Amino acid sequence: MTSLKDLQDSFQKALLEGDPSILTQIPDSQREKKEELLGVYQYAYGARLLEFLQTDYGNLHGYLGDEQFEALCNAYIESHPSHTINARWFGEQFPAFVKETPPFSDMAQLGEIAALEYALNSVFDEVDERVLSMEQLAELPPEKWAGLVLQPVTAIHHLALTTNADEIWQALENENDPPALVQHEETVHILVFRYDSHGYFRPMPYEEAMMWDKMVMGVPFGVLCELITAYGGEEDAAMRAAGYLQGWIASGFIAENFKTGDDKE
Amino acid sequence: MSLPSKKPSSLGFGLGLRPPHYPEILGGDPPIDWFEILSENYMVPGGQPMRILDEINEKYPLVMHGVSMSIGSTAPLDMDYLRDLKKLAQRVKPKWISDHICWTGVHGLNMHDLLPLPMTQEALDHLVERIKQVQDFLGQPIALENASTYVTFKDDEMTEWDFINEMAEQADCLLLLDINNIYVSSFNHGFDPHTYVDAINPDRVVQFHLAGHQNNGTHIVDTHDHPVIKDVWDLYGRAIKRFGPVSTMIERDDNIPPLDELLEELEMARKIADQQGVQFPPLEHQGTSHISQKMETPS
Ligand SMILES: [Fe+2]
Repeated sequence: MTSLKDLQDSFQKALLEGDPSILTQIPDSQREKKEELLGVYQYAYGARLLEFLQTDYGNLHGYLGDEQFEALCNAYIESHPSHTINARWFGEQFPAFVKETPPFSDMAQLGEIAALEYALNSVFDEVDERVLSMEQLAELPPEKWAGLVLQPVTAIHHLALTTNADEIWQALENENDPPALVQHEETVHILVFRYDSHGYFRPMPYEEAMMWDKMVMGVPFGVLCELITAYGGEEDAAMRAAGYLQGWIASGFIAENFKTGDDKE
Repeated sequence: MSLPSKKPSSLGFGLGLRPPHYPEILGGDPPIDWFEILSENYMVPGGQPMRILDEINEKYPLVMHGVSMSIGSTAPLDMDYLRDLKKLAQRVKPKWISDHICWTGVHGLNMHDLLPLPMTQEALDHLVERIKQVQDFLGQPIALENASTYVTFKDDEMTEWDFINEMAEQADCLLLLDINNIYVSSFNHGFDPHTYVDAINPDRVVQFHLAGHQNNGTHIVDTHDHPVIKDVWDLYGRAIKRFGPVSTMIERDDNIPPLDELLEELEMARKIADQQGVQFPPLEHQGTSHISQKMETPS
């Protein structure tokens, strides 16, 4: 008699690798051969994982068409057996996989469309947090501003794009023909965020993107102002930095908890 | 046989909660007594799913149904999963928590499917031990559901109904009987579904699932993407007569129709219960019998 452990090892191998050895443990049914019956599980395994990716990456699917998208997904499924209990996270490494795996990696827009779809999906059910208001910040004494360290909410992602993946995504989302591929000479930046329960994105000028990244890294506001000065010139630098910050706060991008330089942690 | 210590009372006629129906459920007042949520769909950090869950929970009794407990696996219990499940249960306060008699993977992998167990003493002992551990951890009994299966094993030592009765008795757990799954497995393995229904210990059964499937001629695949078929309705009639007013629901996972179509199927279930002379307790009583409130978390 086979132990339960061996039986499960062997059954799982039949799903992952098509290893037929479990068939020695399975009888034919009255109506059907055991190969067909095991095949129900084998088929369901790949079909279910494919469905997870189709759900999460619908516009990449639309862009590539069934055949190419399925080839891409099957390569992912083979190299990334699921370690997650929740379908929601099965496709987490998919954008990186698309960016790194030839021949798909030769088309930069594919990985970027995937990254955008992942970001939009992930902000959808991210944690709910209290956000910082201008009123709260207004109470901060002027001498504390230089040491101010802000933190973004979790449901937000900055993406750097080398192609017009965002325009391609938007066209597919609106069920229009996607525009021709454009390779940008300089990276463009977009911010993916949640508003009223749903994911959106907007472009970010380079200067704002730079300040955003540094803010995310925990750089204090005084240093952010210096960076802005160095990048875009001294004239109205403080105004520009304050303008970006005001926009982020008004949009609910900044978490309520902030630190000032002298906070003891 | 001993009675399960805490069998919750009947909820009436419910549906599996599915996102396409959110607006109708929140906007209107559809004649649905309770909902079953898919636990994993709400094991997310926040956002719209959690907000809607809280809203629906204010209006309806809920039960939690999961697919990832992997109670029959030889891999260690996934304590992270169980912690998240318990956290969700503390938020939802479900009437009960269920999962399936199956395993979903070994070696840290998840096949995302309800895989079949051999009907052996070894598997039974293993299950019983694990159910006890889970119930201790969650601080409440769980209900386990019979899965549809497509294969049997040469080593099988007992029938599925004997296996399930023994499991429930020894582990002191509840049962969720999926009437469609009984039908599917009986067709696939060539047993009489009536024998199965007639054998199950009624004291343990807290919930029925009704669903549709796809018949491929030589075998049936449990797809949950079609209406309930006549043979399954007939089997439900037999079951409700034997088990009494057990909470009944339609379980549709794919090809999800407008809510009205599911309400018609639910009406059909009510009619069959009526024809069998089975009286469900009036719904007013349910609000006062939160099973989760009666349970004590072991210290
Ligand atoms: Fe079911």
